[in-house]
Amino acid sequence: MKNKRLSRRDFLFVAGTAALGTAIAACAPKTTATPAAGQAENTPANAPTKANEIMEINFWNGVGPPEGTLLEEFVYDYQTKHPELKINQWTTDWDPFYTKIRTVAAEGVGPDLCVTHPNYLATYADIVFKPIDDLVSVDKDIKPELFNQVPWDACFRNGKQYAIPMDAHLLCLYYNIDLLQKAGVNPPQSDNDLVEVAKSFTKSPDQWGINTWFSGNGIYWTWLAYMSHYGQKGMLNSDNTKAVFNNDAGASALQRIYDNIYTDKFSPGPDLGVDFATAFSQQKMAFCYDGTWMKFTWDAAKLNYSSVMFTKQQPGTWGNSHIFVFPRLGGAPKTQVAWDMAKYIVLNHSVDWGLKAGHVPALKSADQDPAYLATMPQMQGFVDMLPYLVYLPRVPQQEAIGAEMQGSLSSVLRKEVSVKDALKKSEAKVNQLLATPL
Amino acid sequence: MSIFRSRFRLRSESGREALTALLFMLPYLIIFLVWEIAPFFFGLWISFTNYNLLHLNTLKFVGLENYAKVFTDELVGTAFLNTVYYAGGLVVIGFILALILAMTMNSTRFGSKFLKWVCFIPYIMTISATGIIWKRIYAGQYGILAQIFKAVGLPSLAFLNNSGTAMPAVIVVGIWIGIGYWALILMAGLQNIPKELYEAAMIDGAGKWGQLRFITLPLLRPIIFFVLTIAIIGSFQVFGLVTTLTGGGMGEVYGGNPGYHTLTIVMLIYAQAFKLLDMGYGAALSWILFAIIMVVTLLQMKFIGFGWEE
Repeated sequence: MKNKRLSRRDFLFVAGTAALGTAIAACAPKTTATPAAGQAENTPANAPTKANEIMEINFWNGVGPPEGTLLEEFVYDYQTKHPELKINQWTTDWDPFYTKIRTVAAEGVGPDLCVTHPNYLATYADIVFKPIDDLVSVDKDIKPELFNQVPWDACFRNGKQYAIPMDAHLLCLYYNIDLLQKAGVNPPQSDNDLVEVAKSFTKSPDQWGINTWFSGNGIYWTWLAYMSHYGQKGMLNSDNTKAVFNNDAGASALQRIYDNIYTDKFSPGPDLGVDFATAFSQQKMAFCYDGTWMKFTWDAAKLNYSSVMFTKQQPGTWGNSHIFVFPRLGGAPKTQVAWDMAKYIVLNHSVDWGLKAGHVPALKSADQDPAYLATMPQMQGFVDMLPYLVYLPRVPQQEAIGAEMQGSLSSVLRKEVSVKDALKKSEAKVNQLLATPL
Repeated sequence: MSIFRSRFRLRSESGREALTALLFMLPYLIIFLVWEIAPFFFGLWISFTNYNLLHLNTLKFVGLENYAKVFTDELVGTAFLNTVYYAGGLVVIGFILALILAMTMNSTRFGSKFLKWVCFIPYIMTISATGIIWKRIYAGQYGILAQIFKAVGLPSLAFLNNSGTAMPAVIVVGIWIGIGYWALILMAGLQNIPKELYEAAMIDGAGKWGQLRFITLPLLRPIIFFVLTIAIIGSFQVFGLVTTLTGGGMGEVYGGNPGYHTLTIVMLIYAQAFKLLDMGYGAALSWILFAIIMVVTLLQMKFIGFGWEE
């Protein structure tokens, strides 16, 4: 009788074949289709649900904590009222959010609803985010007159509407009430007042007048805000074909930022690594030029603070908005549900958003709500500045333009290049980017 | 016919073995081909196009345009110099320290196991965790180092924000991560050197320096070549550590600290390809980096060599 024991060679042969089979099975194409461009109406995932089926809605929230957590609660509230839905939320920060948007744009899949900024409409309109004119025109609850004009207008691109706005968040001047009262000074209303008052508070290296960002988006936004004070609203011309910031307004704005650190010396420089939020919270800084989103931090520190609209030649500030957009591949039934959810959050939670997150609600009625008015005068400066808000350039090349400006403006504050040379070089680069369609 | 049959029969045993081995390796080979080789050549192809993830409908061949752009992009020069700075500092200082550590661990009887364990921990920590911890250590106002400086009366400094100290600070962390691993490899090589050679050298009157120069270093050459090669390749490809330490602030596109003093080549490639979506240009930069690393490795082989023939 033959010995039927498995030899080592045979075992290896069988194991290798099994491994190969597993690898081939793993690489086999999936049998279930995912929605692709142009096919959304006909795929099983988008068919109307039967009475006992749960519809899954994917919502991407790039707002990030702490406000992002608040937005999650609004979504949970909607979910409890709609047990026939299963809302999958993904909350993250903006960097990973936009990385994922870029990836899904290429693949042809995406969430049913997400939050974004108006400047990204230029990059992703029609590619990822679809127009919602049809939804708005038949809706009885969402009307333009219900919203503040600035954030409402930001939801449009080339005459089509792509979003409904939730808020406007902008830069303004916070000040420490206790420190100013102790020094017997009033909140500054103009740049000259601010310079004198900020100098009086400065006792380097522990006590500072005001923060000045010197890198990243911070310096970019600050420069845009200051430039609007000097009369230049935005860095591009009206049809977004040419850079218009290499002028007195652009130079004065950048020079003012430079002087904060090196001439008047009431802002800490980049080498010291001072954390502005910590310094202002610990009352080591009298003023903080920052955004609505800092309300969370100041409230947590139990700071006695307020905000004031201050200006140079004319009022102006940089700002942005959180807007709800509807990626094009959700399909008709899902897009309607996503619309209803976005509408619910805007109409029912705008006051909460303003109260707790600090952002100025886009909904006019929320601004007039007694609970929201109770946050005044802390946030009064922001509400006053809303009509003068300047957004980031709304062109497809906006990220490359932002990268150029971040580097260029920062190099001035590192004393590597003069104001004049930096703006001249950046003007040429921005014009080159605008001339190169994506 | 019978000759063919006999040849086939002779080959069949080794043929079966070869086939078995191939089947066993096949899953890995498939993965290697699909996820390593195919993207390698796909990257080469897109480096000659205007490949943009959002605008694939306007994809076209652009020839050497992306490669030509490398010579006009100021940031490429900055990133390249920063990368060479990082690689030079890490490899030279790190290697010397690793060799000293290896020789110490090899000659110490007591506590050497504990020392090996302690030195290897940084290597097995995740890069992002390492970066976050060191970022806290280096932080300007409330960082651990700043507090120590303040306590002894020195002015505190934001090491990662300062143009002069940012890259040295990153190099220190790179050395901290890699030194244990390199030391362990070097120590394995040291343990293979016969002790009789050192005994004979001592009898002949050679001191410690002479033993190092004429016995240790020559016999350790293959290991030194290996350690230097992996250190150089790794340092040219540095990304996660530098991004965690000095990147990602308030919507920065490139990272690399204010002023790009720690912007490396791979950070630039990542920003171009995955943030600005200019994948054609990113791919061209990747291939240039590959060519640079290849040249450096070949030069290493020529001047340091494998050392096996000795």
